[in-house]
Amino acid sequence: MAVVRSGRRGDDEFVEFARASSARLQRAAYLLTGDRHQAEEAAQAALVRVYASWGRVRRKDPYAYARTVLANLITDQWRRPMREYATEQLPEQPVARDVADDVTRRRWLIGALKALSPRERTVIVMRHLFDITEVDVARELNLSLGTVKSLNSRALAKLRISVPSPRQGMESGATR
Amino acid sequence: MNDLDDLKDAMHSPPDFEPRELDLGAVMIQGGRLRRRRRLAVGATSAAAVLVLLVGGGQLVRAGGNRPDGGERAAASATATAPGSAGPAGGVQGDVISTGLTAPGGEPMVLWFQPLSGTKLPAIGLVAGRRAAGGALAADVISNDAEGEDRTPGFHAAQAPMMVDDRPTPAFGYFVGDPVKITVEANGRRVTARLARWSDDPSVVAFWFDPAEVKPDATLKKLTAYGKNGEPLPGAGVSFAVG
Repeated sequence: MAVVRSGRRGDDEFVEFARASSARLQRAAYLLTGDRHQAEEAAQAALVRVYASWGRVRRKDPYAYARTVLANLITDQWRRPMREYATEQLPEQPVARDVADDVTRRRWLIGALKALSPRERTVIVMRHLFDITEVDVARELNLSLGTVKSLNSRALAKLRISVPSPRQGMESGATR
Repeated sequence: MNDLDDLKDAMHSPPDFEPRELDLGAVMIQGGRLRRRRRLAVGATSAAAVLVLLVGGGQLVRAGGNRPDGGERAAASATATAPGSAGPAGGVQGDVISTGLTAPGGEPMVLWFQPLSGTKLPAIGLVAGRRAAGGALAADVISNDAEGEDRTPGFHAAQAPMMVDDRPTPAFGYFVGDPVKITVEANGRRVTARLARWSDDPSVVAFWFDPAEVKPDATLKKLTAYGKNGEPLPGAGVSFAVG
């Protein structure tokens, strides 16, 4: 009954939330599925579930709920397409790293992302697109913290991403 | 910018992908249905599974022409007191039914049938709403069977009264058959419904209870329809969908 009593106000809040989060959810879904149509369907399906639970999640963290639902939906329902991407053979990295050629660099990274295993890819998206901590990734994906750390580290290595150490970061920050 | 920044940048703006505007109307309709299905799955003991989508007045349907709202108690033999309206596609099917009730804001409370678009749903649902000044219809609650046929004899889409944005909505639904009286026990007291035949199909009789007599959160039992000789008609005892 609480949902009923706050129906219209709750709907307005949901629409505001959905508009604000829709683009990022679709991008995440695209990164997870590699297919634009599946991405739209997954993002829409995630929002359907968020709306169905809006009375319960609206006062908590609806965005966290949405990304968890999205990740689980894709893991559960689109497992096969994700597995099709999984391979140890990464695409060739552009030889000359042209700073001006951002699109080429992005395209390679997205292609390389598709080559990760589903769990690696999901951790990478949750950790670095949604920018949430490894602890939160572990909680939202129901994985152990050690597993998340391991998946993240292995995936970044496959992507040939060098992560600056805290010391490097501090030095870098000090020179700016 | 380091490699990790490159990755984040690429993920935030993946080439060859541009997010589209999602159909939030469809999202809310499907989400509402899912919510109802979950509630039914948890608590339904009703013989007639009912799916109710709360609209909460957010959807305004323009009713055409001037339409007097009679407000009198409609007999089962009577058709709806208000003439039909041609709302937008998917909006109003047949005549808008005047309930004779008034919302706290002074707006007449009305019912209307609405065609449903879901492939697995019955063809019609019944909407409880209000007529705003100027003739626009504001929907509060849509009730429809979640499965089965919508024209089988007996009760359909029975929905318990509730509060929507601090406004009471009536217990309502429809009966397929030829009832002259429909009653329910509200907190142990027998209350008689108001009835109106649907203009599109006279075998369909909408019923509703005055929220002053059947209040939200009332315990409702023994919903029963009676024929012209006072005999109970088949389908008695169905439960109301709640929330």
